[in-house]
Amino acid sequence: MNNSKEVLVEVKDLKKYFPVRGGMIAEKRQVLKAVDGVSFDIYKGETLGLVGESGCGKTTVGRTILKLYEPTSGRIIFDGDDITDLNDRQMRPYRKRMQIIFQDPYASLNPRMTVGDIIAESIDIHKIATGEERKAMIFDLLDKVGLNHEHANRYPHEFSGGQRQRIGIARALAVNPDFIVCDEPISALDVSIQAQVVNLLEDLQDEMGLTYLFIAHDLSMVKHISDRVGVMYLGKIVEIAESSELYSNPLHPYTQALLSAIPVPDPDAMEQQNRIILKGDVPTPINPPSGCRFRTRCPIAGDICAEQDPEMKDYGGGHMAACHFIK
Amino acid sequence: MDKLLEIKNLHTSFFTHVGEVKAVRGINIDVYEGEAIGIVGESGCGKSVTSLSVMGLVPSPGKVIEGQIHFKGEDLLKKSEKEMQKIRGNKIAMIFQDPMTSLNPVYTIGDQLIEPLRIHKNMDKEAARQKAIELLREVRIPDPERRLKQYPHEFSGGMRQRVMIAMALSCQPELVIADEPTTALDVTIQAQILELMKELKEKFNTSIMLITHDLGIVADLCSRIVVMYAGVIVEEGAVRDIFYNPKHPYTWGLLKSIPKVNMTSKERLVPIDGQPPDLLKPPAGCPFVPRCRYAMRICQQQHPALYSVSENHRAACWLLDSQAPPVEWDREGVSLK
Repeated sequence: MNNSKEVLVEVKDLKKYFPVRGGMIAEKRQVLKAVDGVSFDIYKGETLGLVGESGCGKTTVGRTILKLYEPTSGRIIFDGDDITDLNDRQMRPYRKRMQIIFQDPYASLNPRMTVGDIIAESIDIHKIATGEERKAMIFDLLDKVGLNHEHANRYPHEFSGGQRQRIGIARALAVNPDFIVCDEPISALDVSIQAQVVNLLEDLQDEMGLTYLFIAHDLSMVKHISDRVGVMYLGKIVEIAESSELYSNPLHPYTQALLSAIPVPDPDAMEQQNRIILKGDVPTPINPPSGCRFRTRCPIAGDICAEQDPEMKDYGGGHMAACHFIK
Repeated sequence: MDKLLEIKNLHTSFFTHVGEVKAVRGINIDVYEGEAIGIVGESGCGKSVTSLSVMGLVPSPGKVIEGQIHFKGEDLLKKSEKEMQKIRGNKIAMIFQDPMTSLNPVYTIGDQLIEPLRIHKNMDKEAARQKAIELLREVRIPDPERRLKQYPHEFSGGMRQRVMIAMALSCQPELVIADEPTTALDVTIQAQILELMKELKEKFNTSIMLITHDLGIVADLCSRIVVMYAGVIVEEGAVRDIFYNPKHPYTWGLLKSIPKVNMTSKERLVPIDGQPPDLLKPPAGCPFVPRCRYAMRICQQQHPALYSVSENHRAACWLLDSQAPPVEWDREGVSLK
């Protein structure tokens, strides 16, 4: 997939904090550390999967890379240019090259706009085409995502979830981007429809040389679509590796627990599976545990874990993990 | 094993302003004592409506229009609302999908746990409180005495679902209907809840009717599976029958559209093209025809009967007829012989 190994997106020590007002009396301004020091590269033409449980910051990472949120600190480098401090107007040329597909196909399409206008919105904003040329582009995009030309004049409510997600994909493709953040694009869809959308995303990637950041909590689908996968826990990446390597040889205890928790649609495999059941819930990112954030639920945590935050280390072949107890 | 619940030829429809939506169109399901049965299907296939029909909770404009639901020999559909109230929460309990909205936000967890015990079991306040504490301990909520005085918003999603389970089990029901009990939860929390349900089933010998779209969860918890499509049952059988020897093209499609565990490279998924039919005007023949690669002329004209594959394994597909061309399924693919 990534023979060239050219980096398209480089994220360095990215942090995104949100202020929260606590209680009736605002004594101390608290901060929610949604993303707390995340670094990774995305290579041209690859799909990087990002998995983790709700509240781990995976969506925030995706949105901050696109500068839909202002990063608190850290750097975002897109195709060699540092875009961290660019203002909205300076961002415009980059927005043409980076797009997003949202999770909820019901909430992410304006119900008062026709499908054609939804798809062409960015064409209009970036003044790419008008009139007949614009219409031809819309038809072309509808073809690409497997919808009919007459769908252009209809409204979103006339479409099913899977079709709406196709509209969302067509909208993202309208400006001919290099990079698309897919934020849980299939979570809201039925199983048989999920495969349709995943196949479409894969075809488009081959055809147009797209690079994806694929955010999801469905680990088996992420494994299927990604070249590499990063696992997040409470604002940090705990492990990142080639996807087959990560699934066959998980190093971090959280990754191990997460993988063992997937219910496998195969009764025989299920019987052999050695489940690691984690205790308790994910702590709040407002006051995360000291040291390693996973230590409160970790089956192998020791004293050092409370004192020191483990660093990401390379265990060979780009397989990185952050845990004190990996041999 | 005895039959605990027997659903016979159930038809449930919704009378909307655009017409009658036939959500459930004649299904038969038996649930035996102490077993966990999974009802699988995609949104709109009628699986939730089936469970609501059993509970007598089909929301207006919906109505059960035909059929019988025998629970321990008595037809629930003939019961008055008052009689149903004595059964609901007592003999048959339900765990809903969304723990965020199925608890009342203005009452404490304690109040909500104690209520069914006071009503169904005639317990006095103190005894009910003690029982509630015990139940919370049972579902592994730490510090139950303090937790009893808290409100739902003070609990996390996983904890709320535990409370829902504690509530469902409080009167030791014989049947628990769990409608997508873990869909709103994260995987690690889902694993906790499934483990808990398995344990409680063993301990109290409760029957479970699990409604879900996730085949993995069924493989984990259930011994039998019913696959529903467009308001009808297309296949039913033991878990291994369905996973290793499925007979209906829809079941094939479902199994092939999810990535396999040991899938090595970027193997392509095989989706089911198209969409389920509109139940405002359900087709005369098999509802899966427009999406089925093996559809024959008869499939469009007549709805197939349930063909027996083995003793407990049945599928509603004309391919199983002796006159149909043989079609073989294996885990890698389906081929016309």
